[in-house]
Amino acid sequence: MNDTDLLIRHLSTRVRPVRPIAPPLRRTLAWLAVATCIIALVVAIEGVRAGIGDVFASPPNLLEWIGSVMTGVLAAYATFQVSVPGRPRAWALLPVPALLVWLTGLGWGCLHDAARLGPAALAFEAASGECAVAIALTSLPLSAVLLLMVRHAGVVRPSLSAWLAALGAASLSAAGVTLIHSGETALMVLLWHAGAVAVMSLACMAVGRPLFAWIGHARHG
Amino acid sequence: MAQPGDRRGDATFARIDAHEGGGLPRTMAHVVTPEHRMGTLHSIARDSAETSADDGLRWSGWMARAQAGDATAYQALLQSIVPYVRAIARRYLGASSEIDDAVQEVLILVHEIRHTYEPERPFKPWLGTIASRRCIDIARKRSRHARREVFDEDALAQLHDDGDTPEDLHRRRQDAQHVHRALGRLAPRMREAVRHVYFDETPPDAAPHAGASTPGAIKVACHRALKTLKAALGPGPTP
Repeated sequence: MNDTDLLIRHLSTRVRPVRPIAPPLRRTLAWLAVATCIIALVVAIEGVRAGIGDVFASPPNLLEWIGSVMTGVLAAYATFQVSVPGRPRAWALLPVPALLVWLTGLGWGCLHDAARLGPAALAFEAASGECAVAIALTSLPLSAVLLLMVRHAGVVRPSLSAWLAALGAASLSAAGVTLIHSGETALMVLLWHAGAVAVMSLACMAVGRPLFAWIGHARHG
Repeated sequence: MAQPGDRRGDATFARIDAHEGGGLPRTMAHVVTPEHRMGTLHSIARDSAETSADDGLRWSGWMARAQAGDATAYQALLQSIVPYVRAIARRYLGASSEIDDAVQEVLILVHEIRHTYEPERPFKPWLGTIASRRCIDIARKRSRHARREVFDEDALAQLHDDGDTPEDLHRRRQDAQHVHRALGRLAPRMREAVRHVYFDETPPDAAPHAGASTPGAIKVACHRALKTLKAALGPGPTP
């Protein structure tokens, strides 16, 4: 009897009942419930910005916000798809259309501001950087929950899963921060909101492999 | 439903192995790119999927029962998938001494994340993804390890007697380079065993190292290593 046979005998004597993983849609809904609670808590603490109704009355702003939310939702669903062995990698493209809608909304907003404010629409506002900090801080618990839910992804597609997870968490956080902060030009929203999402998701992708190795996948002995 | 112990798939595995061994010259297995291997693997996976759809169904049924705690079905499943996993490992690692280690690592991963298999979905893509990703990781580690190997020509030159001619020194230096490269291509566990037993001259019974904990395992590792080195270095110099 060789080592492989011994290993098989050892593993089969240790097998215990396990519950198969839930479908991606159900897991996405579970994560969205947690994410909504966390964002609602942040919004409740900070307070909704003044004139939120006017903000959403503007088509570019509404398009940008919907694009941000949809990017978060679809990226989360894609995370639960690509992290499972055997499911197609192409699911990673799912959030791309929503991402384009978001960026289109931001670009439209920039043009709208330029027509309305003139050169002032291009002014750099360092104070708006607190948006990026708020997005990063809100994203941390959202990302942590999502990464824990797909911790087996380290065996399959760690970088792609980490990128999608961070993209989903940061995009939803950006949508939440939009409800709080006010007074920014669309260019600053593009810089700080989209910039924060891009930096966080790319950073997570770069460290995806060691990140999942550190988390460790769920082991069923 | 097929029962554990049903060996109908063995002929299919033999076909996979024959295809795997004959589809590409063994000497080329070391130089093909990962992308090429991935494409070839997918074509094999397609072929095997066509010729052994029953295997996938049997494996899926066994895994569903294993998830419910059926040890007999689980043992049958693990025994049955070994040739398939081995074929995948050979595609990525070539005729390497790491094949058995890779197969065992994949079996352990299958055990650890068996909850991620969804019984209503096909089993082969699930297993194939786990096996191919693990083999890619092993190949990457091997590549990184080979790059870290340090070759010190001066230290090797100092080993020679002063009476050697420049031609002798040159020939010995080249031989040393060949041996050093061949050692670098060995699996870490084997290389450690060779270093302890042949370089440090530590008896297998007293050679502690991380890769193999028992004297028997060290002897096996040495035996495999020497076999691999002989194959890599070819026949000795003719007088």
